[in-house]
Amino acid sequence: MRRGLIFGHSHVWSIRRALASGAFKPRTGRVSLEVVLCGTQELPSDLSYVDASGRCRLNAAIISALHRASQNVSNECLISVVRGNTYNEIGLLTDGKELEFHPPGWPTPPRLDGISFIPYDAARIAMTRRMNEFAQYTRMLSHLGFAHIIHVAAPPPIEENAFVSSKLPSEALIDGHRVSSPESRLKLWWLQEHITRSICESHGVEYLPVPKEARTNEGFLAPEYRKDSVHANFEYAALTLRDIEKRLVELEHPGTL
Amino acid sequence: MSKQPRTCPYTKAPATAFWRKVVADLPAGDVDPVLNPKFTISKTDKVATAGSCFAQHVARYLAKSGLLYFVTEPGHSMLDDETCAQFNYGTFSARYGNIYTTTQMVQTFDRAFGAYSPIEDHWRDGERFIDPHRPFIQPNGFSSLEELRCDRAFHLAAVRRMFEELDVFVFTLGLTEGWRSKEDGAVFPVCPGCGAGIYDPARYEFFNERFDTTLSNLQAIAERIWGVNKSARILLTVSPVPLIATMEPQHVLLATTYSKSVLRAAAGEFMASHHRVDYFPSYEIITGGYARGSYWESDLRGVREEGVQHVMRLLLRHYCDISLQTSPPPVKQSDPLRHDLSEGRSAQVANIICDEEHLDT
Repeated sequence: MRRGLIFGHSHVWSIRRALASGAFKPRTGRVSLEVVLCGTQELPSDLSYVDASGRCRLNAAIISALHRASQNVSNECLISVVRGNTYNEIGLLTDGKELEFHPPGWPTPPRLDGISFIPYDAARIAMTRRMNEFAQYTRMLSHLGFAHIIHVAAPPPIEENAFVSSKLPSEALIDGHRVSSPESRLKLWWLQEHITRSICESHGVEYLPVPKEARTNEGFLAPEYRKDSVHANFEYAALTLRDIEKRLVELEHPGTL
Repeated sequence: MSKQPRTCPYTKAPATAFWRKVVADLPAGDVDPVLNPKFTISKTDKVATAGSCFAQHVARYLAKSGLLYFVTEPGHSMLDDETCAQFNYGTFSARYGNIYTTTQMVQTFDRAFGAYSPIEDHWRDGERFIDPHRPFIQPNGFSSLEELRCDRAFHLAAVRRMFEELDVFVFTLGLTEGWRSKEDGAVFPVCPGCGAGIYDPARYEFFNERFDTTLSNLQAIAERIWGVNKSARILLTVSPVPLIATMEPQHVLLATTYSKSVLRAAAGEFMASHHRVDYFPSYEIITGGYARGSYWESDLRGVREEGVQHVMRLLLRHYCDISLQTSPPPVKQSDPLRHDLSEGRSAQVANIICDEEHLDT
């Protein structure tokens, strides 16, 4: 039986609940999925750091958790669910003009009124720099010797601003702060995931996209899968676990599912 | 016969009138040619900058000196310092890049206020799109024409706001030579074909602004600014940086002397007749023989940091009552994982962006 060791930040909570509640029902008996590290309390600080000798190191909590959980790396897959909210940290709220940029081929034209426009390349470079830590982390994960590594895409943003606002602590919306427009948040999420996928590909890590049925036609998180202002619920997590199971089985027995 | 009393008027002239006393006999760093500034700049005044590459030094020091360096196009907070520098956010008050000639400055104002729209809208570079009026504003141009136009609209709105709200406009005059469209006279910051665009003698022509044109352009700039902001003060200065190349059929040394002389004379002439316009002697401080060439880099074009400090020390002292003790603070330390990037940022700061360099490649 192939084991999948799941670890990461806040989005792992819904995965843990999906596993514990039975919302995720394994289709085969060939895969075992377990959470080994969940949330920012168990996985604090940066994903990677540079030690005194100048060497890049993986977060000690990850190393420690994998040491405890791992039995046979050649039969185990790492399931990474980290840094899903970078785009929200940048642009969930705004206190002035909203961020706007225009990725090549984006289906709707850029907005002009009440926005702070930046070139797409500037947004891409800044986001890439911000995700440099993730790139180092991914590179080091790929050197640990596990059979396979999957990085799970972050859930897309919630379209309805009223819902997002209602789930925020009241102190978040003082001093003129408001929730950024859905379009702005969707673009930032798209950019984050575009770069994440690229980083994963360059380090031999599989990028698992958002389950198709969990997205609206416009690309937002479908309403039935939202949990709070920035997270998807355990039913969304169940869909993700379904896709993880499918991939792990396919890796061992191509064409099975 | 009794002796006539001596009446030579120079006997009553101040020390600053005598070369020996205030130039030849002083240590270079003590030479101070600034007398009686027409106005002061307070810490609450919004100070905006534009001009040639030397103006970037001015902007850099203003930003670090405690003055209110007025930037109306600062870049969204998503952008880190390195990206801002790479995309020229904060290089000047708005993202217009280098403005070398007075005609280019007039046209920049007119474009911002909708009074002028150049026929030449964009240049292509493979799949990329270049803004002809700020061709090096960001690496590799824009990813789409739609993006270019959106960015331009946003930029010009920032230019409008800058002129409407600034208190002091520091304009560094750089060149008299330039290139323009034969079709509508639109001036480009660089000769098409030199780093961006395609040179076509049927479409573009060289010009070299004469004294009268430069003076009338200065008048036009001031009138336009005062038309939207009647209390604005203007501080003119002339870049000491020589021409990197000339298109005049003469030696580049002579072309440089001509260009700088025209700019210096026009600035002086214009300043003399307007109480809200002053001239600051950046040109003289750097090029003056008293420094024995010590303010030049080895290429005899770039200005060494000591020279820039001399300029800014006097500007801040006389106009702002600020004592410049040290060079601007170093670039802030990045986290260790971004160490390589912070080095890149430091290198960028040290290398002032000069569109003219595309003429000499």
